[in-house]
Amino acid sequence: MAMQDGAAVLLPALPLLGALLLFLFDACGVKSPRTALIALVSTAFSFFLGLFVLWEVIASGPLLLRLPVTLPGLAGGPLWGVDRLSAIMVLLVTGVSTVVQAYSLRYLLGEPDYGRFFGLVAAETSVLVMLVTSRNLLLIFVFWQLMSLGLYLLMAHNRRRRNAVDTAGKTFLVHRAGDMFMLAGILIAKESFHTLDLDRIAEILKNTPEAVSQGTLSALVLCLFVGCMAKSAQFPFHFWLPDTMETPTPVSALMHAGIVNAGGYLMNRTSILFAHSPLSMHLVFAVGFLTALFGSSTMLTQSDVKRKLGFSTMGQMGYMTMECGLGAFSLAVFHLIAHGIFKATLFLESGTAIAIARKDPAIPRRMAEEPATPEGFHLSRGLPVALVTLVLPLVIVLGAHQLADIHLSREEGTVVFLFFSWVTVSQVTISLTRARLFDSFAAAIPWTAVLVLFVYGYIGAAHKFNLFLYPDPATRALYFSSGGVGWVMFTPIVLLITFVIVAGWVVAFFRGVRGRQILPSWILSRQEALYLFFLNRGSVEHLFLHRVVEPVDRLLWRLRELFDGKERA
Amino acid sequence: MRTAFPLSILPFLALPLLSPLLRTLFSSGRRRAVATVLPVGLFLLWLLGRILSFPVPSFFMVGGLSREGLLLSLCLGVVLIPLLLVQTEKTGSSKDGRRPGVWLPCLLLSAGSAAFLENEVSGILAGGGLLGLFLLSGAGFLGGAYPGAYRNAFLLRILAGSIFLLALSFKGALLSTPAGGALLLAALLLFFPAPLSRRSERVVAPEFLQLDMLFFLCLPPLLVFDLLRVWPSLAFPDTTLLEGGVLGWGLLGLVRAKTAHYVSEVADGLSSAGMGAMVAGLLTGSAAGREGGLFLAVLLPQASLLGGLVLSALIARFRVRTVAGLSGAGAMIAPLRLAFLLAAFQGMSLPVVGGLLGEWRLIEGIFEQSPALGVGVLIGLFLTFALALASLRRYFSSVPPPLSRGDREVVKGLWPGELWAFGAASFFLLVTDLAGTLGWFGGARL
Repeated sequence: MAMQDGAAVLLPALPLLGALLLFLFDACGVKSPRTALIALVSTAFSFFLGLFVLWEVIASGPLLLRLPVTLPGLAGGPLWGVDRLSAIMVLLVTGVSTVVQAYSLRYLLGEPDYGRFFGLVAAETSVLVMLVTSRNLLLIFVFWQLMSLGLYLLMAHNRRRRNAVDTAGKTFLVHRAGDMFMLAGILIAKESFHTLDLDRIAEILKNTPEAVSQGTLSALVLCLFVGCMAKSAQFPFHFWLPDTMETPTPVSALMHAGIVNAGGYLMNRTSILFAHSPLSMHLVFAVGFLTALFGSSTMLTQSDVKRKLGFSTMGQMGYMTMECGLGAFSLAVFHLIAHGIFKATLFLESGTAIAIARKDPAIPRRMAEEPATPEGFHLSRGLPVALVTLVLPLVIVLGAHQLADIHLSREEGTVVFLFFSWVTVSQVTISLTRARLFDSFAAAIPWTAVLVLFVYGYIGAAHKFNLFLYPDPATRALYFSSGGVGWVMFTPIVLLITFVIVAGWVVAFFRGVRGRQILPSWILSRQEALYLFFLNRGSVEHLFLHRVVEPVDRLLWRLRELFDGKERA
Repeated sequence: MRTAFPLSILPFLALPLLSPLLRTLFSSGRRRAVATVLPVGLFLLWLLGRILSFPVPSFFMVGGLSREGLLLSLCLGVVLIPLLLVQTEKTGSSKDGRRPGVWLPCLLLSAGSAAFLENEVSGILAGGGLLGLFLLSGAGFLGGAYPGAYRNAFLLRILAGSIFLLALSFKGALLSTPAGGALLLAALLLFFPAPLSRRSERVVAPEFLQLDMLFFLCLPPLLVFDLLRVWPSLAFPDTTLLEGGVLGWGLLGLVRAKTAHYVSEVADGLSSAGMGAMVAGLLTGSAAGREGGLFLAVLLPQASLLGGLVLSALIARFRVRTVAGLSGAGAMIAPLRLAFLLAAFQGMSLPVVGGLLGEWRLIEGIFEQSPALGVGVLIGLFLTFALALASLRRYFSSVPPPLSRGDREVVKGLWPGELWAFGAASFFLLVTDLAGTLGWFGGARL
């Protein structure tokens, strides 16, 4: 076995070995906290090996390996291997896991089952690494299941907390519901392609795309997508995610930074299937859009910090799914890596932030303490504000696209991202500064410089990542064309979005800067209802309980009466 | 399947009967345990040797024995060993060999193996019918030892199933007609632990619960698989409707699990759902369906045994068998958690412990024939998972029942024999899953 192959084998093997050793120590009654270092060190080694493997993959192409066993019904083709996507994901998984374990060393010190927790995290890391390096749909499903199991055990780690165990059960149940769809998708794939080897499926689709009908392909892709929806908390499978706050903070960090990304990863791994089913791509976009809108809006209404972060994750996952629906699969990976890192940081910091807030009576600051809007702010000064918060972001984003050589006229998806970037930059500018800096152009220059650096850096990096992950231009073109709806339909959408953005800016400007409400009363009168709707998370769970679970329960008892008689039942 | 029953194996079939005899010769715990388990262990080794003598995993016969029949017998023996290990806890006495907990299972192993190793169609049916009658007499015996153990409706059900099978074995020509096929299926459905009315409710003696579990929870999947070996010879051009019916029957079993008052009802419902899927897979007649069916047939009894052993240990301590009464009881006994986790994970068909690949093969076979039925199996899998998860949470994560300090000390303790039994059952379950994952339960590869 070559050295790079050996390193690839060690990627999942090291954390697994660490986990097994910890379980063994735990069973033998060795309770020293130092044993936790075994898991940490083995995972960290795996991370560094991941760097080496990434280097090798870039230099000499994917590493394909055969498993020492043959699974029933599976023959031929490598089941397992590391390509660019796998290598990147391995780095994310092992990196986040290492940080989480290092944080937990002190955070969980003195907790019961201390060693077992580290063993579980290391085992879950190993499973995640195996998941992202599997190249066969059935093997992916096997590790997909094991990941759900590992998450359940981690979430229910503190068995004395009833809520934690209940939430873990609910999460497991939702994931399992998605898994059933995924299994159905795999069965359709087996029936249609007579293989579950993803490379072979890609080959079939490339050479004979008409081998499978659009209807079958759409059914397959949508089944796989439902599996991704459950794992990535997409609407309406989202309700498990914000309820997982009873789990230890390190588990939340691992979950929000690693495990929820599994859906995005699977969409990327099976992107060739998605790309051949434009209808599914549009549906993926719609689900992502709905999730992003719902998650972000609900986040604004929540008062619990961790729950806010939970809904923020949901919104980000929705955004990631939208990217996949537009054909920007690589951007989704870029996004999930960025999101994974910043969300892990936020979760690990949240405990400290809450502790500080509890001790410091000045936190949270009252509205009265905030500086008032500068006096003498006249309409004549609205022009620079408009330029800096609305026009300048658009110019910067367009310039960044130009510099990165991204052609807006060729791909509809890039136009959509341009709009999102525009809205994001504009919103960040308004909300961070409240336009106070911009009553003169001189004051706006430093902020503009920051924006230019940030936007050019992000868009440039995302574009380079796209070229790195999918170097074949034909593949990239296929993805984007599949996510497009045609310019005839797209142009009105662009105009509508432009109108919404400008109108939104006008409302925000008058409300935030001028202190005036310009929305019509019929919209304002519905604000409270809308707020309550999002505060109650759309009442999805309530509806599910009362409209589905309870009637089904009644039906089951009726059936039982049939078998046992009314008295005995 | 046309080879006569090889009489040369009869001495081996008698091996398990030595267990109750040898047991009486020793009084100390460890020696008695070895003496009880040794004959059954030797019998299992003989079976394993015969299985390994097959050149490749296949459905063919060697030396007049079918591989499937040998695997079914091996599974029955594997289920028996943990039960015998639990029995060694009982104090030795001159009447020790007469304990039904020892001789009844050993007799069942010999009789069951004889039935499973039969290869003639009429012989298989007759063997199944006689095994049914044996179960009935066992139930009668237990009913005598533990008054009110079984309800009459249940005993009549088993009787009817046995008579149907015996009638079919005598009137072999019937089998080639739709009426004969329907009769066979009706007989099989009568042996399902659920959804028909529950069999017992009052007795809480551990020995009774263990035997009841062996007879009416662990044996039915093996018996039903054995009987369905004759299916390819039946004249049914399209089996989709039958498969749907059997699957639906299995799913109805889940109604009992969901609305259970007694813990044994939960196990009955989950096992029936698995049996429904197993039968549907076998009826497809495909290699994948058959391999998956065999995988399930050998896993279901072992998972039921493991779960049942845990529950009978809890019942022995808390003296109740209601779901509400045992809520949170498992949390007080740490080693039970692992055993029950394994059993529950099997019910959830999770990889490594749950025969996931067996179920994959089964669904593959069914889906190939009818995607709609495949969807039915997927729904069943999900519901089974949900119920297994609910059980796991109820027994191990709920608030434990209130106990005095003294009682708590008694409840926390676990007998060495129980530990051995849990260990053996868990080990066999994991090994079975590994064997199935490596493709030992079928010959077809794609």
